[in-house]
Amino acid sequence: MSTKQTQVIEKNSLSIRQPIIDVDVHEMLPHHHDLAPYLEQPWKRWLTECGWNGTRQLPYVQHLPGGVEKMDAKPGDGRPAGSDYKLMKEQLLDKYDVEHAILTGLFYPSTMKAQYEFATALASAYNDWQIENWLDKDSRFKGSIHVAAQDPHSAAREIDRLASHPQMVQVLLPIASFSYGDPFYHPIFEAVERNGLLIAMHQSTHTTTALDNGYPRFFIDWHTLLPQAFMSQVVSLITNGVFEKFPSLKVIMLEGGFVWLPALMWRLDYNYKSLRQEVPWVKRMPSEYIKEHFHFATQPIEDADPKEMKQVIEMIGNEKTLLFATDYPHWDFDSPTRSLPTTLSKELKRKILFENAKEVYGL
Amino acid sequence: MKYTICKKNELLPGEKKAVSVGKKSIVVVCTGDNEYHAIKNSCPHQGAELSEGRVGGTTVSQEVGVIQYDKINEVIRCPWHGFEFNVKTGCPLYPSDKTRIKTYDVQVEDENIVINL
Ligand code: FES
Repeated sequence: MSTKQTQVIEKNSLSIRQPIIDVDVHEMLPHHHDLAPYLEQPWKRWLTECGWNGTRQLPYVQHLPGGVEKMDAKPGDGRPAGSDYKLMKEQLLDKYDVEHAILTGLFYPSTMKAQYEFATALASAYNDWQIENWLDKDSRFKGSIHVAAQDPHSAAREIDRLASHPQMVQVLLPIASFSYGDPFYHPIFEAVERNGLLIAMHQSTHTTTALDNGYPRFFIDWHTLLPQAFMSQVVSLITNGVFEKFPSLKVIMLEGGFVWLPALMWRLDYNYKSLRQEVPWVKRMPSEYIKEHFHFATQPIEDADPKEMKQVIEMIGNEKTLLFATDYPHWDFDSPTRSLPTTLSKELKRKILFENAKEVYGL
Repeated sequence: MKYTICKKNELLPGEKKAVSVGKKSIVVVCTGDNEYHAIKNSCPHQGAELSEGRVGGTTVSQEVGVIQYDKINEVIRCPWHGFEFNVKTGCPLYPSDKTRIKTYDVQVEDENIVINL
């Protein structure tokens, strides 16, 4: 982002108050053993005595100054960035006038490939830990219900258990290597719809890209190509008729980009004209479902020419589609005051920073 | 002005026939017993001759995941990219306000299929 653009934004941001809804904030477990008090036996023993060492890490070194973390967000006592409420409050909530921060965690039992009952227990424990250690501390926090999606019926029970919590707003499904449109996962969408929640999908250490069994040789390749997996989920939900079956379902896509949307809409619409016979339950042009049912977080917004970025945003065709996210406390954090292109109108910026999320989350 | 295309028994359900009437290229389709429809023989997408495609039915669904085969002999599929069109209305089977193939009036007169331009 050029210096010239950022100065304009700084001036604007001084003149009027601009509250923010940040739709991707990672509260972090200091250590997975901190879940022990929230687990029943035998799962507590599995965690503390049997050497379980957490959900798998990425097979890459993230050779940033702070690894995966924004350097200044580290508490400095060995705990991970994002695990200290006071620091998050100071660096994010208070500093940027964040009216609501949607917590998205990074502990995703849905990606565990085995021992589903343990995964389900861990998801429940995490949710209870999140409520006690985060949601109860600050009403600006809104929560995600975590589930073990590989056992959709248990996931639906967990959603029913927590949906009435006044700060729980969505169910988080990490993107891995399976398609959520598959009817196998529909009990989750049914529970989400019946409880008036949203679905949020976020990248995970298990997000796979197209070649090399999902993990190319370099981290730069994997990180650049993450949108492949997001595109796959968008297409899968549409072609499997999820929005015909669950017409009020809304899906928030976190950290997978959005500039590829016009191309995806064109290609899917074009293919639909030729291949509709295969999926006749898809009644509308696919791009119509995208515009009505999906929202995309802006972070990590590409550092593109602001004029070209504005054109792409216009091509998406719906000013309500984009929601602002910082991804605090990670290395690819977007600043609320300095990341959106200066070419956007004040009204559109306000929608992206605040109003769109307020409407879709009903805040 | 009326033009005779062929004898009725020369075009059976599911069959189609390309004809040139003056400068117009038209495809006539038999959609059922004594039921004939005619549309312009040019795909609105990239101009393929629809008479080279296939006449048949299509899939429909009342419930996600459940497929039925319906509209038998009412649908023509373009030979190139496979877009489907309802030969009775000229409308594509994908939702569109803009695209529509020109239809022509067809009748049976004295055992002949006659097109009225
Ligand atoms: S030319 Fe007919 S579908 Fe493309």
